[in-house]
Amino acid sequence: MKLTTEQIDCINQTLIAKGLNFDDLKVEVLDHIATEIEEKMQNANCTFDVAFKEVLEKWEPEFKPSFSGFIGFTNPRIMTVKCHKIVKRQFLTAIVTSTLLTLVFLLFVRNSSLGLFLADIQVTLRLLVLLEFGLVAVAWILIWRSKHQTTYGYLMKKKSAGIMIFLLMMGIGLFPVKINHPDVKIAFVSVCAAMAYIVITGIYLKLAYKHFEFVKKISLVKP
Amino acid sequence: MKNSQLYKGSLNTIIMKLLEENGKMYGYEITQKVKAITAGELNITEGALYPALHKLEAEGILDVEIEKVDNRMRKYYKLTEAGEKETINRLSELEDFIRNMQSLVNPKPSLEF
Repeated sequence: MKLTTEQIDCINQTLIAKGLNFDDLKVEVLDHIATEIEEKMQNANCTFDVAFKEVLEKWEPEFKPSFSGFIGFTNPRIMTVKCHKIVKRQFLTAIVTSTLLTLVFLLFVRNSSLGLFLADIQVTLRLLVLLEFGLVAVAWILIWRSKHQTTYGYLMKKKSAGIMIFLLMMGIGLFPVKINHPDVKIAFVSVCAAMAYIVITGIYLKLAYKHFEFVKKISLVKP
Repeated sequence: MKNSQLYKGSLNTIIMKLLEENGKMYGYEITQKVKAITAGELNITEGALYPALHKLEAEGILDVEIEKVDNRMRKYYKLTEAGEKETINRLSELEDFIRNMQSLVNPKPSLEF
């Protein structure tokens, strides 16, 4: 027993009303609910309304509003859990990577012959930051205009909005990276902060890439 | 899930094993397959299944495909190349675990005089 287009749309609208407006999640949740309903209608010989009510009741815990400190916003539980895992993994990656890069800079660049090229290194870092700023700005606009919403696009827009100001300020030299500061603690914090912003921005660009990757997959499906 | 704490750590491996055997599967199909294989003993809930699938996808172990089925879209999960290699490792670990648990729960009597 296959559901009609109207019945599928009814499930779709219910999911949207419950805050599940992101296609990468909505596609699989809708399909799971629809398949369960079809099976119930077949096996229990009940109507769509009865089957839908029973299946939806089973799914209610997944739609319950849930907050995660890593994301900073409240969403249906199933979405919060997915986003939390993505952001937590990225946060840990950013900390480890930026710390390692900072140590490389301080051990091999500072007080070495490479220190002679410090001005060039700082210009390169600023150009890299400006490039990232440009890419994030373009990705932001493209995701905002996108026909589809995904959890990746949602996270990218929410999390990168705050970082863009700092990227611009770093890029135009308002926050110089003090690699050769006499106090090694200040040098460490300065370089680590810069590395963290660069790495985190790279992660947000990866989120944008995953958004476009999913949109491409869904767009290839003939209507 | 019955005895959920016992199965909790194995869910990812169960999913990976099923995908290794069946190529690509969608969420509901995975729950029904597990239910059928275990004769109803193990019921994977939506709250357990989808976080596991999303985590495996984020780790690069699974990839997704979208297809049109009837009048809706369906998201299939399949193992990536890295996922296929990881599946072998995890199954090996699980087999060792099962063997060790069997030894602990049903120790063979030693014949010492």
